[in-house]
Amino acid sequence: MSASPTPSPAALTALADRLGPDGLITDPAELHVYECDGLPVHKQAPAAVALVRSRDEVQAVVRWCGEHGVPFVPRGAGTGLSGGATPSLGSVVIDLNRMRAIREVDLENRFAVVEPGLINVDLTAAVTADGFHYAPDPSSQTACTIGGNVAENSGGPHCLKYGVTSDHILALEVVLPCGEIVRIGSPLAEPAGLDLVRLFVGTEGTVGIVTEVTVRLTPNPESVRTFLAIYDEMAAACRTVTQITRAGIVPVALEILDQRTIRAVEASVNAAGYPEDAAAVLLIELDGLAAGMDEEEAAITEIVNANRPLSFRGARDVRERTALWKGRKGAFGAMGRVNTDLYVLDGVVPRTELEATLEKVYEIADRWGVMVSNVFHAGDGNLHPNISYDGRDTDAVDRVLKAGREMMEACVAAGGTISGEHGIGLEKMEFMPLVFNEEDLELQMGIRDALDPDHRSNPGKIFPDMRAMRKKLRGAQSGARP
Amino acid sequence: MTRAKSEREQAFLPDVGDVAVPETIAQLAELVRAAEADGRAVLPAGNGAHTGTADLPKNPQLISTVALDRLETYEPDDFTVGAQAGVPLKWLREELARNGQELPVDLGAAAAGTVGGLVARAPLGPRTHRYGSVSSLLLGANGVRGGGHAWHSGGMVVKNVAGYQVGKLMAGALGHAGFVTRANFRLRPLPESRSLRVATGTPEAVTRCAHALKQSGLEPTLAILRGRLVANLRADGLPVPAGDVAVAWGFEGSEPRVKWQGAQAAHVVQGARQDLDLGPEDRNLGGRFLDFLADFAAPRGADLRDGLVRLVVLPSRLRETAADLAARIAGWRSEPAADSGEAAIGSWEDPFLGTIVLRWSSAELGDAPVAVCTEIARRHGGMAKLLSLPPDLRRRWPHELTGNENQALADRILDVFDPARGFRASRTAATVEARA
Repeated sequence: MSASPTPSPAALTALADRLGPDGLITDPAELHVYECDGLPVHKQAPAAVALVRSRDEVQAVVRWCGEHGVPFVPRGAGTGLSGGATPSLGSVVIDLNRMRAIREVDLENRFAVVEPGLINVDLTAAVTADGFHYAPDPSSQTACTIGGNVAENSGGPHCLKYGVTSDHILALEVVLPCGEIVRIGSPLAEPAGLDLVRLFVGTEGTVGIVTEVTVRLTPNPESVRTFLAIYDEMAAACRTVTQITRAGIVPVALEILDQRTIRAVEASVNAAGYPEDAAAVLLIELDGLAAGMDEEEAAITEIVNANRPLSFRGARDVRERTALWKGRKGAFGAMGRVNTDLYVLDGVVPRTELEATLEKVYEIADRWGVMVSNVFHAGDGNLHPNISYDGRDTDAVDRVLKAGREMMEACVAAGGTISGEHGIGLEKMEFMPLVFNEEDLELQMGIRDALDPDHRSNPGKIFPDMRAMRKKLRGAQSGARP
Repeated sequence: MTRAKSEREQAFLPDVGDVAVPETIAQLAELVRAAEADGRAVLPAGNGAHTGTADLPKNPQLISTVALDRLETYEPDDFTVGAQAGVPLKWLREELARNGQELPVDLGAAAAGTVGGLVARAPLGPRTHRYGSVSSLLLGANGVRGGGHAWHSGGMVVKNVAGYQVGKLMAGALGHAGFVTRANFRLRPLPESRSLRVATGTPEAVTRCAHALKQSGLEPTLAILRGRLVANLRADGLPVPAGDVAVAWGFEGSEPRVKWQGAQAAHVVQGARQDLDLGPEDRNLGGRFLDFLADFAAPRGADLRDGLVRLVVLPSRLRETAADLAARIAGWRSEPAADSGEAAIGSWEDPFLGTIVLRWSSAELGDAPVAVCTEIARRHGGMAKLLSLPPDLRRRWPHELTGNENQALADRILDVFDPARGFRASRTAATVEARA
């Protein structure tokens, strides 16, 4: 992590005065809460935490940081899994959770204007009675924020049909690292000029802080059907997914849990009744117009049965549907039962490579002597190998990181990439050369530099140290293009 | 290698020489560097099918990617394709159709243009509201920017958040950020059935019907059509009753779903039926109709006679915008002329997107509609973009008719792609002239 001068007490006092009572945290004991996000491998307490309430306060903090040469790190709920919200040394965390209002809902034009600290699921809750929802649904949606979703270009189980966050963001208000406020995009069907919104989504807070988001609202489907297929071998579950894809059927979700995950879930408060001796369970969900859904269900049933499940059943009502999903949604939380720490990986492969890549993941884990469980968005090839370990065991940590790297290499070798939805953050900086060469990274960093020449906005994230990278790349035998 | 200029290129850039056609990325990079060293603007040219959509620089070096024409990766089982920029769209469409697949972007009957041009223009189409924009379908891209630097972004997988989404920035950039040399897309299955039904009537009845269909919960492609567009549809053999204002809708998907929706739509239309003349439903003509609309909204190859503007407003404002526009152009002939059989002006409204595409005969109306569209778009809080005009008129207007308040920010980013400003010489002509 990059070093920077620690702000002086006098400077921090001035900032506290600007933010008002309870606006700034400087107590070291309280700062520890912010020392990491959902990736505990990297920890760094910030110099201070600004609890902002408005765009103007965000701007004031950013300007203050500019005046004092202090980096800043935007933070939503801190549920990110790549260290994107981990502070850098001497930084000020800008906590956006107090900015959680819904400013406008326009159902006729199908958009809403919200503040970045709004919790993802609360947005859907606000519009569901009117027949709409906000489609991106990360597993952490009961805690994660819209601003964080924008920063990471979050996905979720239902993005198979509905797309990821960048497909649902129409406009942004951004405080740039220099303190300038810009509004990009609009609710209109196309942008004027360059599509800057598409660029900003997924920049992980490295080119400014989002202070307002205009999101697309999606009409609720007329009909939803949810099914659970249980298999005695993972390969059969993967083949089912591949064949459904090949058939051109686009369910709204295709999710797989492996046996270790099933057992952890069934031992937790989110037990869903999954059989613990199953090798894999596959959740399949269709939605849309009721007409034609019988035919889709028949096609899927045929494919599932061709792969010899132990059982296959559909949810008969909302209660059963919720129960089927409960286990999937609680899977990550359930892993806390296995060991004290969890390294959640996030790689993507073509759907045709699911079976082979999973085999590789298990082989890598066995070879390194680490315990891996898998729960993943099979429908879009987005794997989440979860490695449970004891963070106090330095040898275990070392093996976990090495196993994780090999798993990422396996995803890339299969024609995939190193992140489907969790972002790069700190965790995957070293993997960027697996998928980008020097020219690719120079372009991205050039964009970053154009908007943040002083590298104050969430520095030390996404892009590796270029000097070290050049040395590594020039020693490598070939470039790293997919 | 070079190629002769297309008819559009010749019309818009008569003083520019033949088009350079590099056969490799390295050659393309070298051409870019050479042009920059000479102080010349660079204009990505494709096959010249749509020249004149983007603002044109003075004396550019025309460079075409048509020789970069390999289908590099096609995974039918994964519904993804990666094609070099010079791959013709018509050929790509046929190739995908062989596997019962499509890129769900409406390309028109001729599907003129190339993959690179498709990304550069990122046109809106009648199915954009359903399947997403070109940017949404784009999984990754490769390009060459200023200085001849090659880059890539994204990949071949359907979810990817590794690094900045640079490739997405290229969609709709009209070549201002350099060349696209390859684009990767996600595909969809070709629908089993595509239906079409058209009703004509008074403007009020047609509008009422369209909006009833929009609110119905069904999943139509939906269009309100006026003037010469209606006449042309009829002349093309599509089942359009008499009249010059029409609403057209179609469904696509499995046979049962299309059939059911068609029946439901009939009930909806029945409720809004006053003053409507309803044509028959045809469950095979939907594809032709989509092509027709896409062709209406695109510059038509060597045909340089027409003017073409797209207005975009919020869907909730489409009715009043369309009424305002109709009132302003009421004096312009929308009836077919006795001699040519063609009306001067026609339009297509998309109630889902909030767009109006206006097409007119510039021989009769010159560029008068451009100012009208610009004013109306501004009045209704929208935007207007100029898509085509004959060369002598085109030079008077910018592509972004209603401006771009983020141009300064965009330029900061474009300066990374194009430090020499050779790809943006249309907006910095003074710089180019000074260099020359």
